[in-house]
Parts: sequence; C-alpha cells; structure tokens
Amino acid sequence: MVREVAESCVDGVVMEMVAAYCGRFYAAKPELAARRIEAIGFQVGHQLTERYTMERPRFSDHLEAIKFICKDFWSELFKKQIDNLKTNHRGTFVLQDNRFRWLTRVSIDPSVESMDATDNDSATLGDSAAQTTSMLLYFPCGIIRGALTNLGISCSVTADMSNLPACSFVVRIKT
Amino acid sequence: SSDIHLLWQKEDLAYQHQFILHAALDVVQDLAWSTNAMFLKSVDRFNDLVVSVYVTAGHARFMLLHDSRSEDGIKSFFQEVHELYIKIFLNPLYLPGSRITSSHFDTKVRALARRYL
Repeated sequence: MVREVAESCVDGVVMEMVAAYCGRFYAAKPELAARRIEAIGFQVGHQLTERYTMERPRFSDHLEAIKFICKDFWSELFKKQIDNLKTNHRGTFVLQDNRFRWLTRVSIDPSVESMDATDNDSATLGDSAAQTTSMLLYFPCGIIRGALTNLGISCSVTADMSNLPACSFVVRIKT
Repeated sequence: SSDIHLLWQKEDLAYQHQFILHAALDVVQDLAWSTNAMFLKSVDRFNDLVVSVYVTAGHARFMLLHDSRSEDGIKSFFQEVHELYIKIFLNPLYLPGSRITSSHFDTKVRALARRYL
C-alpha cells in the first residue's frame, strides 16, 4: 500500500509555512520571505523528481522534461494533469492549471471586493489579500524550478493568478 | 624497502583508478543528452579496465571501474544502488551534491557489490 498524507494536512503545512515566513520571520521583508519560500519549494521539487523519474527513461530534450512535469509529476502532486501547455518554441512554456488545488480554498474577502476602490483602506486590504495569495504561489514555482533544474534544465518560474482558482506558471529556460 | 614499494604501487593504483574515472566524465557528459538509456555500458577503456556508468534522470552519475564482467549483473547493481541513493536523497537533512557519509548506505552498497559483481 502506498503511504499517503491527507490533502488537508498538506494545505495546512503550505499555508502555515507562508504565514510563518511572511508574518513572523520576515514580516518587514516580503521579497526575502518570497525567496525563502521559493527555496523550500526548490528543494522539494529537486528531491521529488529524482524519485518520480526512477522507473522511466531519461529525457533527451527540454520538451520531454516539460511534458513529464505536466503529466506524471503534476499527477503525483495534485492527482490531475496540467490542463494546458503552451510554448513559443523559444524557451518559454506556459503551464495552465484551471483549478489549482492549493488555491481552490483561497478567496479574497467579498466585502473587500465589493467596497468602493477609492476607499484607501479597502484598496490596501485587497492588495494585501492578493499579496498573500501570490505568496502561496512561490512554493509551487520553486517546486517546478527545482524539478526542472534536477532534470538538467536551468530556468526561472513565475506564476499568474489573475483568474482564481485557475493559475498559470510561466517557465523561461535559460540558454 | 619492498614493503614501501608495494605501498607506493597500491597508492599509485588508487590514484590511477580515480584518474581513469574522472577522465571518463567528459565522455559521460556528451553521452548523457544523446540517449534515453540510464545504463551506459563501457563508455571508456584503459588497458584491461572498463568504465560503466549509470546516469539518473536527475543527472546523478554512478560510475564503476571494472574488468570484463556480466553486463546484467552490473545493471542490476546500479539499479539497486539508485534505489538506495533515492532514499538518501529524499532525506530533508541531506544536501544534494554533498558527500554521503551514511555507514548504512556504505554497508548496503558493499553487500550489493558482493551479490552482483
């Protein structure tokens, strides 16, 4: 039998990690908190790929490795594949998950959304909510970067969450 | 005097083996992206010594310097060492790329060598 962890536990750990780095360790330095969270994700992705690629042949090009991330790797992590993969054939790939599991339970307070944006307080609240949500995405960005780095592909990964709970990860391969 | 000479010979041999393996790394680097196979048999030779290599998807390289032996045995040895390596690699306290100091790992690898090689 495969050993598994309840999904709610993983959700809790990720949220608590983000809260700890943003609210306690680096409350005054959000960019440093983001770097630390991404670094943890990097280590996780780095380690997991070594395990998930054990039974399969090695990758001979970048596209094969990206497809592995979209299918096998994403399935292992989130029990579903990436919904859409786009590329410009010049080293940039966009991985789109229409219902990213770590964002499905995240919502911005509707009272903040409905209030008039001219009100400074509500705008600030909205910004901080969006910033907190974006902080959650540094971890999966790190996971993808760590996974690809371990497969011999040096890259940078950013996330776009303009349409919650959908999420796009932009992978730019460094040549 | 002869004892000292033997000791020098032994040391020379150890350095020579290291040198042969390091020299083969360049060949492995080129081969790694040109094939999907993990087990790269006989990538380099030096006199009667052969270098066999196993490259994981994460580009970790297991290298074995040997005289002519059963390829199946070597492949099985590498596959089981890979499993042991993954257990080490997944330890959150292990820093990827650092030296593996686990005596348990050492014992298991030696046991596998006795079994397959």
